[in-house]
Amino acid sequence: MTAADAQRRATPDSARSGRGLRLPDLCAGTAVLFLGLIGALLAFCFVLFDSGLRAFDWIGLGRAAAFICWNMLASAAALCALAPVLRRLRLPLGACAALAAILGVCLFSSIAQRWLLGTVIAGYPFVLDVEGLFRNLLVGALLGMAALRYFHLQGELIERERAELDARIRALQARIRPHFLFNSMNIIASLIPGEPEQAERAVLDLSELFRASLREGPATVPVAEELDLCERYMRLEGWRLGARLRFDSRIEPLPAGATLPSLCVQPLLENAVYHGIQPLQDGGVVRFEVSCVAGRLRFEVSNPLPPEGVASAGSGMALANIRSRLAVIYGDAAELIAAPEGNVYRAILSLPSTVSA
Amino acid sequence: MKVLVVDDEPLARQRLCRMLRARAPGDELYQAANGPEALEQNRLFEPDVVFLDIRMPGMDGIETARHIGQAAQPPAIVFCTAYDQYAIDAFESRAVGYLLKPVQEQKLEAALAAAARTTRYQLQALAQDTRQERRCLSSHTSTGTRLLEVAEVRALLAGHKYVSAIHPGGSLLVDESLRELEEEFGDRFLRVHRNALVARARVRALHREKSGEWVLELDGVEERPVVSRRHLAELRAVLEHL
Repeated sequence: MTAADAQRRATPDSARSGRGLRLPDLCAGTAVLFLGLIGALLAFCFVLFDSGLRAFDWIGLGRAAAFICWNMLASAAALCALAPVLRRLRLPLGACAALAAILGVCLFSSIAQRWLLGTVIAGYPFVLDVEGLFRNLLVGALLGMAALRYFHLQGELIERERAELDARIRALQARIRPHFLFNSMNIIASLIPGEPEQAERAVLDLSELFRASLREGPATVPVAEELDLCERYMRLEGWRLGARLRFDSRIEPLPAGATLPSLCVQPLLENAVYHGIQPLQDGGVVRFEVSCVAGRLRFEVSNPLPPEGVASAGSGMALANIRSRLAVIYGDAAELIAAPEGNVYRAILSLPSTVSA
Repeated sequence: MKVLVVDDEPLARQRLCRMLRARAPGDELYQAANGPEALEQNRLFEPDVVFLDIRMPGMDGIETARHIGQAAQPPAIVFCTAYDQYAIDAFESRAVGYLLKPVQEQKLEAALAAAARTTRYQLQALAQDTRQERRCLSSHTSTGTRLLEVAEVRALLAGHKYVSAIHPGGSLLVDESLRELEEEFGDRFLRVHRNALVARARVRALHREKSGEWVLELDGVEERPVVSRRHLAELRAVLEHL
């Protein structure tokens, strides 16, 4: 998927969510492949009915397949070109327009076929076969209507699923651990008398984290913004846990303008602190490495694994949350792996370094 | 008054100490960063009140309170937490003192005024409410408090007056009865005799002695607890599943 695609998927499009005709992207490679396949199968069915098994008409199959595939692909191309217009029309009107486009293609190709095969190749004089033309248009109309209905229902289903996911993303994003909030407030209260400047900084850090978690806007943000949140988060936890928390971060230069979904790296650090450092009496080191290799951003967070039985439940939720958000935006192109390795727990997030236009 | 403040977060300890000092400059204040440290301080200084954070690494606040509460003259205990709905519900229903962080002055005053000895019964009920089993057993003697991780215990044997916890490093006398221990650690230990519990995961073999008695061989210790006839069938069933 391209960057533009990702953006389109991520931001709800007001025009798309109207009541118009839903059509899939018929210009996409997979769509073309499937249409070709379906065309060939249809041709096979027609010829089988016509000639039977014993005297199967192979030449007829070739001719029918060429005609049907040509019709379907040309209709698809027409619908693909008309899609922006169709989407804006009301549903009945849009459906009629789409059908008219399909019939137009059918009419043109029927006449062209007769002219090409009959007149140009065989040399007969050109005569319009009205009955044959009418038959072709009828078949085209019936199949076209069935296909449009199918596309429309499928489109609605996909949209509904996406809307549900969007709602889930927003609900998940706004979740901040209450523990973290009140502990941070406690830190601020502790810092105010002795170190007012640090207290002020803590207030700013906390408010930035909250702003990010409450944000409703573009699903993706510049990487630098997310890294800034990570730093703020770790500073707050550093005040809270004191010398027990050591943070070792290595950030390599990243492509300018790279983006990623908001709050999908910070929770990895939060998990490392809550499940890795906090249960350890003497604390430990959280390692954070950010790099960009072969067009993919890579974020690695590792923390010591607390002794068995101490580990607290709940880290799975944050990971599942990040995964479902990544799935909406990147499909299969993003990956989050988290697993223990010896006495270290490692989480690796890798995603395409898409640059927003 | 002597006060012990227990919290793993240095800034949280600092703030509570500052509030306590502002309130009564004459108080003796002690601090501890974790459960075992708190037990040691408690033994050395015998505070009147202990402020205990709930979420601490290793031994949490509620377990620490249970160990402290075993002393003959236990101090009053006030729990502190930033946010823990389960624990707060439990404190409310058991009428145990608690404070929410960030601690407010009036609330601190009220908690100190109401601070009373928390009974052993209350603490046990609290542990049940919050569905927690202790990580350590403790033994209180004149020389100090000794802690033993429950995971290390191979068997609990009831003697004349005390229960001894058998572990690879020796044995430790604990204050609870075998019945109390069985209730708390039922998943971990199995009763094999009127006076013996053994750690399920540590059973190595079941032998019959020349005398006709059945005994258990345990991992890492010499003790061979006797299995009574009444528990033999049940034990065999458990062994088959190991």
